[in-house]
This record gives sequence, structure tokens and C-alpha cells, in this order.
Amino acid sequence: MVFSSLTFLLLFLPTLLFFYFIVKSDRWRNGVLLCASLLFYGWGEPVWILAMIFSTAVNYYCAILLDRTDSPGARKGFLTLGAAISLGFLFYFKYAAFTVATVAGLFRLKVAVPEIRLPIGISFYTFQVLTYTVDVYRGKARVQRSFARLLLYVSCFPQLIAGPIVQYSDVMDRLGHRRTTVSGFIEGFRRFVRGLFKKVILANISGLMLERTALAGTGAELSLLGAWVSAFLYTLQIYYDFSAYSDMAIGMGRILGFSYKENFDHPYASLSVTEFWRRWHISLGSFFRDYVYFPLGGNRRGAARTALNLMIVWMLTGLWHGASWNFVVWGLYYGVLLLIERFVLAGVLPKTPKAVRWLLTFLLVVVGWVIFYYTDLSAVKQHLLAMIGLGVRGGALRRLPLVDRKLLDVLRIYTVLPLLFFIPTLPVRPALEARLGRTRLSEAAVNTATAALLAVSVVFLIGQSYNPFIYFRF
Amino acid sequence: MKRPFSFAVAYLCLLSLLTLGVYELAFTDRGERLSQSENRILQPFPALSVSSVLSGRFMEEFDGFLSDAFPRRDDMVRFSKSALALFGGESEEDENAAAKAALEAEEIAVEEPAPTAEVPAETAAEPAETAAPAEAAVPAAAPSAAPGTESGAEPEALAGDGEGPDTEIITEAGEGGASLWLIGLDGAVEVQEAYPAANLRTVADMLELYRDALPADGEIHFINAPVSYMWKSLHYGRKLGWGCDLDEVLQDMVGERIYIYDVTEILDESTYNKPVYSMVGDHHWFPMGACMTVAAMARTQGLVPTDYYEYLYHTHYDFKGKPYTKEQLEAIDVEAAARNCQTVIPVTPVDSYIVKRLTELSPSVYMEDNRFVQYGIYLGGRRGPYRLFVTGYHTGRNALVIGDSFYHAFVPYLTPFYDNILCTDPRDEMYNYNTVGPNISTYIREYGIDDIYFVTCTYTSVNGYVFQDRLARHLYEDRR
Repeated sequence: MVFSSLTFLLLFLPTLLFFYFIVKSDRWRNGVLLCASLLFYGWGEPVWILAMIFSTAVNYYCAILLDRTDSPGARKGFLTLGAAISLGFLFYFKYAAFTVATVAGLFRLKVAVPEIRLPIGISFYTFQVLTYTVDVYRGKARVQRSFARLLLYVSCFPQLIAGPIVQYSDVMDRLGHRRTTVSGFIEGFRRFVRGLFKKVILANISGLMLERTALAGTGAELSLLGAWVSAFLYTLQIYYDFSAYSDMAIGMGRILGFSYKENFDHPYASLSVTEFWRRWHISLGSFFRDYVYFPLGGNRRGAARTALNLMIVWMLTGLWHGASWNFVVWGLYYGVLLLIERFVLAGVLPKTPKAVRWLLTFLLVVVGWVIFYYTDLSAVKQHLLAMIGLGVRGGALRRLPLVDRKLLDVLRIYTVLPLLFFIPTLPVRPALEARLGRTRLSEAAVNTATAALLAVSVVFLIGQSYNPFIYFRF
Repeated sequence: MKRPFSFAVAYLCLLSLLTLGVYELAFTDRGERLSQSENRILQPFPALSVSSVLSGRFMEEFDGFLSDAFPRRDDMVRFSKSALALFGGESEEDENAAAKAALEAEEIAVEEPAPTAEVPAETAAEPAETAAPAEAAVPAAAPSAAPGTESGAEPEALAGDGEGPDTEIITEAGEGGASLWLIGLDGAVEVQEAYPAANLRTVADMLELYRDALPADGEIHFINAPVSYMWKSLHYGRKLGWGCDLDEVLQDMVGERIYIYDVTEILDESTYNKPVYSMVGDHHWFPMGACMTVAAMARTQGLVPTDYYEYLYHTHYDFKGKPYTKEQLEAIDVEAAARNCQTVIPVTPVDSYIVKRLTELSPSVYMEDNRFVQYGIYLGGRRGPYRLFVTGYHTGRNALVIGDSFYHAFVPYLTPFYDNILCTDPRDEMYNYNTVGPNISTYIREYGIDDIYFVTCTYTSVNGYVFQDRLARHLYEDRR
């Protein structure tokens, strides 16, 4: 099920909240939430519920077994078993076809590439269930004796499909007892509506604008400015799309009594790439930091090892996003940028004017999204070349025009809308809220705005066909 | 309670949502309705079954139903469009203008020869002259390269897509036969399909049989559309030209009121230095190819066709098509181009039905279906055994279209000429005797069919079992 669908908004959410708040005990609330989560996940592809339950069950038993023994070897064995099965699942569904195609391509083998459908959200729930087993192994979390509670942690619908990745240790206490408050309900609801509006209006309209521009590999005429504008529009779309989902997830979590960590913190306001990754998909960065980078030794084994560790982490980050070489290149791109910032520019950056740092960072991020957008590396190359005004024709480089007809068309139709859409990516709202404070008048204004945003979002949803989130495919 | 007013607002919002949801389930029309503003049949309440739930179809259709059954839906859609227009979004006129501009822009973008072309631009720009002598020189049994030799095993690549050739590809027609050929860069004729005289005779007899089942002024129209690899080999400059003499040979074999068209001639202009008018990811054609063909056929009948740009189009982004092999994709760089696919929306609202048994019409189905990422987006996918389109025009004539999947992009352009268009796909996998009801002649009578169109691609055409065997039997055999 999709948050931005009428089924969710008109039936699922209100019905769930009705039953959730009508029962008082945590046990019953967990029951309601678990049933709702399984229905939510199974709504599109019921068969994949079994895969999620299986992955959870494996880790449930592995954690119990490793908790029962004191032998370090056995503990490690059970941890490895749980991780291997979960990651094996992930590998099969997400990377098997990619691996076969790559190997076949390398050795020029004629092998049929298997067509495997990817269960939705598998990357997210696999990582979540892994944090549980690893946290139990590390002694950071108590073993969960109730399978239903563990399944609730893994399947809890707000964050199940597209994150944020919630680490077990962060919510284990709330699985047993949650406190719901009126304030939490109000703030959660507002956050949810804000996310809905971001998705339905800002992300989807950014996507519409992007579709109108000339994109590489489509045979359309590219131009220097056109290439930058389309990259800029995708930069907007992916931010609004993904952060909208996180907003809705965090908002719903708050209504239900969970407290999920923030996943975005105005990343496009960053003054360095390092800062960008502290503000973008924070839960994924935290996961890789805690469960990959630190175990590899982090930065405590010298500069060379730190560099290697960073590159491994960023390659894996890229691969996590999808079984395609462009994601690997995208991950390595950020790995290299972070290494440069850490080892080359460490002394220069603080002395550089903020405006220059911001602009450079933003441009690098925009370039990164170009690599991310195209799964075809030749299209990536074509688009990147276009961003420096070059194109390839007949094997030779040629200069591209400054503008193309599609760009003029977009500018004619949407005028300054792309620039207007950029404003909310900056920390304007928090600053405004801080300035206004909480008065009766501001409360009334926020309430009115919330109701209006909800109404507008619902109206826009009616005319839209299926509009899944970009991060669903990861 | 703290912040009671804010809580009340949140509570009321949720209550309103629930009320709307319950209202939709309890009080709205669950049947088929036409959206005038969107020119499509709205999603009825889906049938609940174990299989539909397990496959996810029920949920998909349920989502569609909730959206389509929303109170005052048309007003809401209009409001959102107007609101978008206020913020710089596009009105319907903008949409049309942008679609036209995009097409023109694409034409400009490919004015220069594609990089893969090794042919000088002058040669590629004047294919007709180059092709003419070769066309004249085509022997009935031309020595030929195997189909697809130059561009890799393209026909074989389609074998796995579920709609590959229904006929063995013959490359020698023999005396009295006909061929469809490509002309290589060296001027050599490469026969792609050959139609032996005996096969043509069978088809001619079958066409006459069908004509005799029509009213006295009824007409038969027959096309044999080339599959897309042929178009692409011209478009990308790997071949100099193409041609077909099926129309001439077959036309001589049939009597009056039967018209055979040469699609290679109709589309000839479109294949050189123009956008690809066929699927680039699989073997089908795009609406523009179908539109040009219908227009040419209409002109032959003295009718005035509707201009391509008069129709509305929906662009389906990230359209998958059915990919060729990796090597082919690298060679012709079509994967990215296959992402965008346009489907046509008829000029007037068209109501569409599945005909299960002669008079059993249910349920209405989409003219197009966004859920498909393959050729199934056209006319809402494969629907059998019969589809009926009530066009909204009042011409006093009805047509029957017998064809393979190529008719999906074709039929929308036929709507201005007929009141009702009945369609069927006679291939075995589509034409199940358990569901098809009576024979075709009965349908012709019951639906008052005036004209019949045979619309197939080269993979299903003359030599295949459909034309050689099934169609004659389907006309009168009744196995209910």
C-alpha cells in the first residue's frame, strides 16, 4: 500500500487509528498494529509477507540461540547464520540477476539472466532485522522472546517500505510499552500531512517538470542549460519524494507512540559533502557507520585503512540502492569526494566563504543525482558531458547549444516554479516557526494550513494514477 | 486536555477522510461509468476472489475504484488541473501544444543521420531512388541473407516475449509468390518474409469467404505491418530501403471489394531520418505508424482522416517494452528511447466492452491502462475473445477488426469512421472456443458489420496457421 493512495488515506489510516486508540492495553495495540502492518505490506504483493516473516523468524531463533550460549564461537556462528540467510535473501532477490549478467558479460557466456521480482522494502527490512541480531550479539539489546513483537518491529508499517531504517536498540523499549499523547497525536498528524503534501504536490510536480525536459538516451536534443535544469529538477524530486515518505513515517510513528529519529535535515543547505551525508538519509548513514564502518576499523587504523574503509562503505551504499553499475559509481563518487574533503581540503574548506562552499556542495550533489538517475552508464556519460556543453556524435565531441526546445517549453509553462520549489528545501520553516513561537494565532494558522494541505493533497490524488515513491524500488 | 482545538482539527480531518471512504464504499455506483473529462471508463468495484487477491489485482483495482468513485470526481480533476495551470502547470491546450512541439523537436533532433549510420547523408536522405531499382529487380526467389543477419538475431530475440513469430520465416517465395525485403547498404536485396503462391491462394480464398459474409457493399481491408526491427534498421541507417509486393500479387488474386495495402509504401517516408514510429523495445508499432496507415487506407476509400495531432496522447514514462539482447541494445542504443511510449486517446469518448458471448457485454475496460509497462497499455491490454468499441460517432457503419496485437494501436484511429468496432484476435491463445461463443459470421450478422479489417504484423501474417487454417474455420464453424 502507498501512503499517497486513497485506500490508505480514506480507509486504512482512520480505521487503524480508531481500533488502535479504542483498545487500551499495549498487548492489544501491538496486535492491532501487527495486523495492520501485515495488511499494509500484503496489500500489493501478499506472497512476499512470507519472505519477510521467514527472514524475521530466522533472526528470531538465531538471536535466541546465541543468547543461550556463552561460547564466542557459537555466538558468532549464530550471528553469521542469521546474517547470511537474511543477506542471502537480499542477494537473491536484488543482486542475483545483476551478478549473472555481469559474470556472463565478463566471460562472454551465453547465460539466461533470471527475471526475479524484488519484494518491496526488502532492503529496508533486511537491514532492520540485522540490526536486531547484531545488537543482541553485541549485548546492546536484550533478546526478544516474543516473536510477534519482533515481527512488529520489522513489519511496523510506517517505516517498513522506505525507511527510515530503525535500529532495534532505538525502539525495543517502545515495543513493550508506548505512551501516546495528545501532543504527539497533533504533531504527528501535522507532520504526516506535511509529508503528504510534499509528495503529492512538490515531488510529483517536480517529476512532471523533469519529464518535460530533454533527457539523455531518449534521442532528445540536449543542451548545456537543459542538462543542468533537468538535473536540478531531479534533485528536487528525489528530495521531496524521499523526505516526504520519512515525514509521513515519522508523523505516523509519533501518532502511534513511536519516536523515530529524523532521516533528513535540510541536506541541500549543506556546506560540504560530509555535511550533506549527515543530513541526507541519516538512518542509512548511521546503519553503515555502526554496522560496517566501525567493524571494519573506522578511522582508527591509519589514513590508508580509513580511506579503504570509506570506499568499501560507499561502494556498499551505492549497491544498496540498486543492482546496477550506476549506483556503484554513484557510491564511489561520494567515497572519493569524502576522501578529498577529509584528506585534501580539510584545511582549505573552513577558510572558504560559506556561499562558495554551499554552491560547490550543491553542484556536486546535483552531479551525483545525474549518476543516480540513469541506470545506463552511457546515458550518465552523455548527460554529464552535456553539463559541460559537450555531446558526442559520430564518435567525435561536439559543442551543444546553450538551450534546447524542451527547456524553453518547460520555462514557458512553469516559469519560476522550479526556483519556488527550491525554497522549502532550505531551513525556512523551522526559522519561521521559531520566530513566530507558539501563540494561539500561530496554532490557528497551522491548523488551517494543515486542513488545507490535506484537502488539496486529496484532491490532487484523485486525478493522479498510481504514484509510488522513488525509494520503493530500493 | 492540552491544545483541544488543534486536536479537534486533526480528529475532524481523520473523521472526514473516514466518512468519505465509507461513503464511497456504501453509496457510490459500483458499476461501470464513463468519465467525460478523461475519456475513459472508470474502474468498477473489483470482483473479489482468492486468485485476484493473491495476484494483487483486486487491490490494484480497489485503489482505482476509490479514486474513480470519488464524489464529484470530474470536478476534482478539473480543479486540480486548473490549480496546476495557476501555478504554471499546463492546460489541455498546453498539453496538446507541448506534445506537438515535442514531436517536432524530436524530428529536428534526428535530422542528422544516426551515429551508427555509415551511409553518407545524401544516400540516406534519398532512399526512394536508391530503393527503386532494387525493388524492380526483386526476383520471386531472391538470393537473400537470413532475416536479421546484419543486425544480429533480432527475430530470435523476440522468441521469448510471448508474441514472437507465429509462422516459420520463409525466405524464398517461388513463382507467383510475393516477398517483403530490405535493401542492404551494398544494394543487395535481403528478403525478410516470402509468401509462396499456394499460401497466398489460401489467403485470397479466405478473404473472399469473409467478403461474401458481408452485406453487398461491405469491404475487406488487409494490411501486413512490418515488425519493428525492419523499421529500425532503416531508421538507424543499417539498411537503405525496404519494399513489399504482397499487395500487388494478392490484389490480383482477389475479387472486388477486397483491398490490400502495402504498409512499407505507406510508411516509407517515416522510416528515414524521422523519429522511430515503432516500438524500439519490442516488435510493435507506435500510434504514429498506425495512424499513418489508417489515414492512407481512409483516403483510398475516399474518407477524410483525422489529423494525428487532433488526438490526445498520454505519455507513459519508463515504458519497458520488451528488450532485445544486450548486444543489440549496445548496437542500436534503443533502451533509453524505449522508456517513453505514447498511447492515443480517441477524439470522442469511446465506450469499450468485453464481449464474452454474443450479447453478453461486461465489464467495461480502460482504453488505456497505466498499470502495464508493455504493449498491453494499448486498449487496456489483451482482452478476449472480443472487444466492442462504441465510438460515439454516427456514421451508420460498423466494422470488425481481425488481427494480432497490432490492432491495439490501430483501432483508436478507426473510430471516426464507424459507430461500433468489434475486434478479435484469432490466434489460438486468444481465441478460446470455450469463451468465444458463436462463429464469426454470427457476430458479423448480430453486430451489423459492414467492413472487415485484417490487421496483423509480418509475424502472424500470410504464412501463419491463423491465415492458412483458422480464419476460414472460425467464420462458420460453431463449437459452442
